[in-house]
Amino acid sequence: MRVLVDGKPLRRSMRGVKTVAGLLSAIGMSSETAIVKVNGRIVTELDSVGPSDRVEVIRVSTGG
Amino acid sequence: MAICSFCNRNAILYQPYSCKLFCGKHLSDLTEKRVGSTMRKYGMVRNRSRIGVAVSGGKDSTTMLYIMHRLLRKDRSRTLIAITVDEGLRGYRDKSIRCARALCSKLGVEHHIYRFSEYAVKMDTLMRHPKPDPCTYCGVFRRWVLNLAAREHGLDAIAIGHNLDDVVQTFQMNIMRNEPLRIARYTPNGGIATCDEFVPRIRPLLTVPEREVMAYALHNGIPFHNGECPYAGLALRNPVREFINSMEAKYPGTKFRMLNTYLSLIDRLPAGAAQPIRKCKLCSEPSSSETCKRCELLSYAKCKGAKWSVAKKNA
Repeated sequence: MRVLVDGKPLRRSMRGVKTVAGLLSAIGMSSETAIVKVNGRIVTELDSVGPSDRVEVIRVSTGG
Repeated sequence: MAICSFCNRNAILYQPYSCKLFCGKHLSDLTEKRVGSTMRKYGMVRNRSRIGVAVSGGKDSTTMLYIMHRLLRKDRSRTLIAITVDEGLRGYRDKSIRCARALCSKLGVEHHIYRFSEYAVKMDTLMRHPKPDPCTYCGVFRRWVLNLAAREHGLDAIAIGHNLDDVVQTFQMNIMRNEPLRIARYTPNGGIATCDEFVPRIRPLLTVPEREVMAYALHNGIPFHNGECPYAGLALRNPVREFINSMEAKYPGTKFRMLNTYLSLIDRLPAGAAQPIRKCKLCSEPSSSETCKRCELLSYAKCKGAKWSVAKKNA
């Protein structure tokens, strides 16, 4: 699984991670503070992720 | 894929507080409905024809402009005018201004930029000197410049992109700082004291959670800058935000319950809670005391050795 956080690649093993919620938890974030795209589509924290997926985590920045 | 609770499309957002899933279209419908209801409920544009929209270029302000433009586009009696305040934060504000410009140009909305360097002090200059609390300075200067801009363009109100999260964080911080008068002043529609020189501020995103604003912006392809202010790390708002988000994750609906508490409190505050508005003796702008906060902060910073020149308005 290829994971990008705010456009930067995350160099960490995501073995065993099966859901978006699990992925966010593994990188110390929550669905309150991030939006996730899997293969270019916005998904919910209830969706699943697989080893061949390209995941983008977009932090919900404060202000603006 | 999770499926929308209202149709067969793929969901892009799960709302734990309602246990419902939303596709892009239904999330957009809900968000626009919420903004429209808030504007009607508080009479935000009632009897007002020139509405200013404070657009920094971040997700909240660009989404607010986009939705207000959609809701008011058929109403020829009202004009939207976008105002951007450039605080002078290199590598941050310049990027967001590009997004604000792009959106205004796409929507055909008149856009004006006001710079701290002309009316106050650039934040980057300020931060080299007296090591103040950056958010205090920035907030005070920004409000001062916005009010001046709103008057210069004859605006009847100015919309601020404060979402549900911003409002409940501010409420929580005012409790922690023991500032009940600030709770009284921070209302959805212009505060409780009025004055000709003070342009009322409205908050159309009051009932839209921050992550839903972001999901709306991404789904609708709104150009916005998703960076964080370089000085944001120093703010009290950060731990407050973390605390409220952790409560929301554990007890969904916490933010809306806090909002309802805050709105109930405002209704119960005595009319005398508002301080009368007068004119600052130095700059003549509206102020709750003899000298406005902007002039007070500039004097303080000068005492601490900061040097700059302010082109407009006496500093």
